[in-house]
Amino acid sequence: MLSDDGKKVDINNDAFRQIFGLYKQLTDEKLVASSDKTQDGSTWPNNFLAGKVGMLPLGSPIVGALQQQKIFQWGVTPLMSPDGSKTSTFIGGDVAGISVNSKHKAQAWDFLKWTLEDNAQVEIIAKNGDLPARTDLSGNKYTAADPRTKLIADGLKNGVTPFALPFGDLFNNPNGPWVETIRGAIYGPDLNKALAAGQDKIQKGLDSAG
Amino acid sequence: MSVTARADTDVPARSVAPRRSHRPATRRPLTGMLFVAPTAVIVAALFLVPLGILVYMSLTDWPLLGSPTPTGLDNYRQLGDDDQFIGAITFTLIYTAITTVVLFAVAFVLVAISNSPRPGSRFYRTAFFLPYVVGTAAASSMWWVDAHDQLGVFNQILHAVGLADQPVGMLASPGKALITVIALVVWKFIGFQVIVLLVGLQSIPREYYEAALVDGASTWQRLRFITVPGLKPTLALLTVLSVTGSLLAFDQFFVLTHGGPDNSTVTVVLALYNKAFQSFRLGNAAAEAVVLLVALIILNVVQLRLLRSREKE
Repeated sequence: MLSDDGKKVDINNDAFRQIFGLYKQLTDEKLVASSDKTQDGSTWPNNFLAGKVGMLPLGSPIVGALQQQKIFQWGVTPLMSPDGSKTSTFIGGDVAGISVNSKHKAQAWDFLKWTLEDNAQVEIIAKNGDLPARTDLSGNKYTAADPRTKLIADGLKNGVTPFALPFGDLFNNPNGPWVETIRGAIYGPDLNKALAAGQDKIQKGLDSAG
Repeated sequence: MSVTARADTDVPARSVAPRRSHRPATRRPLTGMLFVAPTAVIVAALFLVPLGILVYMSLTDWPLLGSPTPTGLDNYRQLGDDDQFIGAITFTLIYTAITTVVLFAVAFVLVAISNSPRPGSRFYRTAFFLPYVVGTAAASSMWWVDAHDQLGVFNQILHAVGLADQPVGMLASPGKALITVIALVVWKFIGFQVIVLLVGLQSIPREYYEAALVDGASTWQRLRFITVPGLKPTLALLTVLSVTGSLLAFDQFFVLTHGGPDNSTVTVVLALYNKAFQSFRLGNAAAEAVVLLVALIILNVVQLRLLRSREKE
């Protein structure tokens, strides 16, 4: 959806129309929880963890909680692209940065490097039920012990982390254009118009960022 | 709030000034200054200095990280093109008008209930006042859960009474979200309004009513010619507080609606917050804050002028 340099957005296309068309259909036919309409993200996986809905599109963040619950059996499958040719997954969302005026750049960099080292990835993150961010470590003994977590960890290589300088402002901001576009597409009267309007607004936001 | 407080204290100070300004001030100026010094230091450190920084900030491109660059009046020029800020001004004015009217309407009814000498009126007063001691953010969090369409108590009540058989999303549409927030604000602030009105009512001398009764004045006449004029200063104070408070509304929207659905409940302060801490454009946010401050000062001066001229009549 975003170009590699983060300067161009492309959401007014067939893939997005089909994906949001599916979501809109699920909503129109009342197959999703009614509370989704006012969902702000804070209780996103709760209905699933409580065993009240059957499917939840989400990635590794929920794995720790799923392994602890004992109400139901669960399985995983990759998210298919509309034409079935590729799979996708949710990766990232969290950003670590070092500020230009930091007096401890080397130490900060050191810490970031350490979080990605084999030992931290396996013995801290994987051991505690989360999945390693590095795809080459998906075969570690903790993650590989469960074929489901192995599948998720392997699937990470098919995901893409979109990048843009004003990403938080345009996409994560509850009053930003991306949330407005999704809501317009799923709950609004005209999906195509919502995507076209969102395309314009997000592109404008990308253009105006220094 | 701070604006009103200062405006309030200004008024009497100015009106007495001409009579007393000469003698005590010139006799021992140093001692006087010493007494004022602690307050002056606090005001300077907590108000004037931050205000100065704010104004300087509004004249720069100030990112959250990194160093600021001066840009003159650019931030103020950009305000005109900022759809969210313009929309927020409109929404805030509508919200302020509705809230002020509804607060007064409900307060009058509750005052009528709790001002009677009947047993239990003390209980009502306490009950009305209780929500006021809950912090706005905490109250909003409570309402966020209560307004949930499946877990919330409001929906359970609606179902129990038979008014609804489907989950009602209390925050799902712009209209419902606004009604929910106004209901929260009324629930939360009505106690203060009622107590202040009760105090105002009880400060009207009994004798007026007795004299009016002797003269054969009807209930309506007593209300029109004794109660309303006697309550005028109280009503003025409550109007100023309610208008200023509503124009600065933030917590309830930030916690309960996040400005949604579809950005329909973004207030000026929420827009300002978003500009500063979502977009990291602190310069633009500072410009918005300066505009808001000037607007509030003008509004309060106008309000106090109007109320003062009415008092003179």
